[in-house]
Amino acid sequence: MSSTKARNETEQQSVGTDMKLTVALLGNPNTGKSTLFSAIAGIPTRIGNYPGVTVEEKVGTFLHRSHTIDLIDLPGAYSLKAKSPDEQVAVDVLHGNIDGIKQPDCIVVVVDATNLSRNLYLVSQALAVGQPVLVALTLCDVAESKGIHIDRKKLSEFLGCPVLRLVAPRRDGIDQLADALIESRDWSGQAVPEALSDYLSQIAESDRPVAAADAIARYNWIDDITKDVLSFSTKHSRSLGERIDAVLTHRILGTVVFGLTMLSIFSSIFWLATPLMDLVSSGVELLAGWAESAIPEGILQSLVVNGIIAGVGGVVIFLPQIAILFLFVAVLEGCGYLARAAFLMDRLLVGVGLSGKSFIPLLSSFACAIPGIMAARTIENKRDRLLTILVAPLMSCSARLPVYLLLCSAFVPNIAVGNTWFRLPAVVLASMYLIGILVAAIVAFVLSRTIFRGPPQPFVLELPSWRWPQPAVVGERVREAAVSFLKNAGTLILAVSIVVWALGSFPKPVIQAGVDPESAEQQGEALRQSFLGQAGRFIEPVVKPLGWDWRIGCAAVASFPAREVVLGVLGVIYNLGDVDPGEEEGAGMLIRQLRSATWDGTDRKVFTLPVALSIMVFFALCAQCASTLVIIGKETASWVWPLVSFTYMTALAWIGAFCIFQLGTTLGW
Amino acid sequence: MRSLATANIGSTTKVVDISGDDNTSLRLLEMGLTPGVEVTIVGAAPLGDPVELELRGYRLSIRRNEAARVVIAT
Repeated sequence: MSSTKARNETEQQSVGTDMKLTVALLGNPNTGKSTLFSAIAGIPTRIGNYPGVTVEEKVGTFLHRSHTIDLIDLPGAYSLKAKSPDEQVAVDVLHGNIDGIKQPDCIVVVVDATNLSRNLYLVSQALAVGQPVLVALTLCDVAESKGIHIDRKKLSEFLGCPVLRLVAPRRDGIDQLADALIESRDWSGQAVPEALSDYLSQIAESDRPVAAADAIARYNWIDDITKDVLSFSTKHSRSLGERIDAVLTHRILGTVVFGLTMLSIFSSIFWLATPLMDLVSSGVELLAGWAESAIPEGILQSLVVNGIIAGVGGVVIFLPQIAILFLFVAVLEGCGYLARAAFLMDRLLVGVGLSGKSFIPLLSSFACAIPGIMAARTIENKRDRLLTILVAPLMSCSARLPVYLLLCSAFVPNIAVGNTWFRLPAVVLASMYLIGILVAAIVAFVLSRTIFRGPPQPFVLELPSWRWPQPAVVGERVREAAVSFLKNAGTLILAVSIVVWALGSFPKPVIQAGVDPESAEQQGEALRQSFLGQAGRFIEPVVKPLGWDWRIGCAAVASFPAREVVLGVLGVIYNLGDVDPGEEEGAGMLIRQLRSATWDGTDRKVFTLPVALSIMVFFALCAQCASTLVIIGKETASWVWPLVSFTYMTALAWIGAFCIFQLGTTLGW
Repeated sequence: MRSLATANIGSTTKVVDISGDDNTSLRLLEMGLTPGVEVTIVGAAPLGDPVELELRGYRLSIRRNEAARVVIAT
């Protein structure tokens, strides 16, 4: 009851007075800023993108002593002389240059106590913005365990602003911080400390470029401060973190550990997620069954069951993979390993025009390109991020696997390769994965030297000290990724599913008397007459050089929403009715049907080994995944890049399929 | 003039200057690689690049072509 009473009082007090305060949370990356944000504001009330850029906007609101405080979590920044979109957003928000976001009344600079010197650089710039500044010293417990002592009182005198000690996961010092925020309303702005001004006024006398002289002047000021404020209780010895680092960034050991870690993550995305995916999948089937019985037969039922539930449901089953992947990424990022992974892989990826930070997104894309593209958010550099997003869908995702498996088992002779114990279907399957990787490397190499050409992008990567990941931050990461994915599934993917359903369902076929409209023959005929079927026949001249008949072309067009759909469509189109590729029996039947299919009006077989290979190569390289294109659009905040992805991938897929078919035919496979 | 790119792994040295005046050079300065600061080359990635540095009590990784801009004491 007392809490209700307190809330009522709060509400009464806030009536009629302006008690709203906007506070910006500024800090270097890896300072525990996210931990502090969730400790103060809990779950953010608003997550989105800043207008025009893909930098995330995160705002949380909380009540403290009858004041409503809006907390803006700024993207991590090393400097307010912006060099990345992240830093530009931080600068724009701090100066009130973004429409719809009020200039913050107060700036909280989060400072990592274990790394005071470099963190004070950003503080020195924040002090010049003019708004009241509060310094929140985080990771004080870690600093103390390392024997680092900071004289807060002296530091506060040097900076001319309050310095508060915080241990965010335990909520120590949060109330004091909130109190100080409210008091800051009465301050008359922030002045740059005199000692700093003195250093900055000497820039003109320096013979260095102004920006460099400015940075050096600030560090001179910082060195004066740290000399007085910092003390070390233990002689700097090899700490546990350093010993861990000695192993994990070791040339050989580090590579081994790295390989094992990535292998276990990669396999868990598949195996750990499988039971959960089955669960979601049976939930979707249950829903479909329920809808089928609840809605009378007809267009509405077809729309709900075949359009909405099949379309959105087919995408939602990837939710467990996304949640598990982001769990791993958040844990690895939280403890500091992600930065080491980028460090280890950088040289290899730079060779093809990417960066070490592209590794995790690309690895994730083998499970599904959607989480992979979302994981590219961890790449600050815009060019590297875009390039990674563009090539990520070339990694063979788990949705291609059923296509490969079916065609390999149906048309690739199960013989040994040479005198080895490798079987030919397995070699073909592995080649499909390799083709994707190889083409991605070539595309990245070419793009980075043509349209993405520019000055070399600096790779300045902090290797943060090892620490335990914060459960709250990890949870928030997973929640964020899941919500954002479900939102897309519920809006854009839903819309695309409905459109494809409509194209496959209209115009309605003319049903002859005495024919069962539910029969497989009739369903195949219906698809043939639909807009989708017409499109299939229309594009036949285009797919003929690939060895395909119009029905395969139609299946390829119909599988635009998702590659695995091609199996179902092939089933329908070859007069099979609905075929579930996951079931042994159905797949067996589909294989028999495909093997016996002939070109219209002849007895020439449609499916030969070169045709099967051509279909596989096409699906390895094509962009037949509406959800991926939707996510690319979302993540790049532009419709241009999904269009570019679709165009270049479809072109490559066609060329690849053409080459393999012609090669196979010439060699008489 | 010696650069950080030529320094041996495990050695500790002093920064004298950062050459160049583009954003990369500025970022190196902003990360604390200022004249007079002590740097230890902690290690290198499996293919020899990038290198791992320790300075101002923290770990930083930069590529060799960036390390080449860091002029060190001989």
